[in-house]
Amino acid sequence: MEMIKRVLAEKRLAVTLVVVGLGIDVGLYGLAVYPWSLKVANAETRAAAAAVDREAAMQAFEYARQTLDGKTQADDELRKFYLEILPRDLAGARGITFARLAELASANSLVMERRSASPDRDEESRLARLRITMLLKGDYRDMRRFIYELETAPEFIVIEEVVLSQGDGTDEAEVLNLGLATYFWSEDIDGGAEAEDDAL
Amino acid sequence: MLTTNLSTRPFYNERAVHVVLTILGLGAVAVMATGTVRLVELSQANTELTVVAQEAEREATRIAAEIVVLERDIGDAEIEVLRGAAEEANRLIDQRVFSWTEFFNIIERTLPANVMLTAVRPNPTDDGTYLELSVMGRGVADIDEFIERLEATGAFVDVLARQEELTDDGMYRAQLFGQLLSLDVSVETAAEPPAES
Repeated sequence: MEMIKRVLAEKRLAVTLVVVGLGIDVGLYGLAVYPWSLKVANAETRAAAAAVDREAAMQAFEYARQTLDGKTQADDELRKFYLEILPRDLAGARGITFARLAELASANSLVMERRSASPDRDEESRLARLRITMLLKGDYRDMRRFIYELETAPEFIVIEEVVLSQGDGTDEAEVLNLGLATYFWSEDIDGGAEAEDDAL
Repeated sequence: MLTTNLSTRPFYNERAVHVVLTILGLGAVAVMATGTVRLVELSQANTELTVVAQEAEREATRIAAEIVVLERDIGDAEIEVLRGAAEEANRLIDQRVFSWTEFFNIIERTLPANVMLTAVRPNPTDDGTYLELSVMGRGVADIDEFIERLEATGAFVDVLARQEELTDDGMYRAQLFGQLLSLDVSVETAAEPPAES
């Protein structure tokens, strides 16, 4: 112990320099390097979080863009369906059904005994429906052919129901009761389709 | 020659002390240099990371703003209306493409002699197309045979006679209900129009 005190006393300057140097090191690490390490770690966390946020935002943007594209495409397809495939209005619906159905029945040797039509519309639908009921009399094969020609015709006419029955016994003819429908754009069935383009 | 140390203050190894002090001094300087370099590196890293984070945050904010604009263009209510309209259009198209000719081809192949089809109503739903069939048969066995033949085609499944009743003329009237799987089973005759009588 005595020896150490003597060495410290005799080498005071050198020892002081060494101690000061070590003190500076401790201060450097304790007061600068360590706080900066924490700061960098925080910056790394912040950068990582920002990158995750950006990635999430990019994915959300892509999803929104695809949704918008899908919406635009669906809108276009619906517009095409409403304007090019379905009749434009009640007059158009009448035009593709009344004369056409009578002509088809006649061409297939069927007698149209009765026909009724009425427009209606579901609450939630933007389409109105023209329902037609036809009572046809004739041969079964002619009825099949009539149905075949109707379902392969370009007009958008849906066969909703088919009811077959035997005639009243006075002849061999069968009776075909057909429930048909076609659809047309109409927000207001009474107002026709004037608002069609605006609404689409 | 005197070889014994007679001093009251014994010598210490001065060279060893110098070496130790020198090593400690050099070590302190080295640690200081390393610390300084590390500090500079940390400072630079902090600056770079902060810039990267700020850029990413700015980008995320910009994209979020664009999403708001896109979502405004999309509009949830509009999407709902569109979805409803698309479902309705698909349902109508399904009804329109239902092939009655193919259907009658199957019925003609499967209908027993003592059974007569009197009414058909297809009902397309989200789960598939269901069919309501009204038939008249001489006996319930004939109607059951018709059901079995229908299912055997593979075109129909879960066909059930929901109601059967005896009519005044001794026939049985039945309401059948079943799911249509596919009309493609009659592909060999499907595309053909009905034959001339």
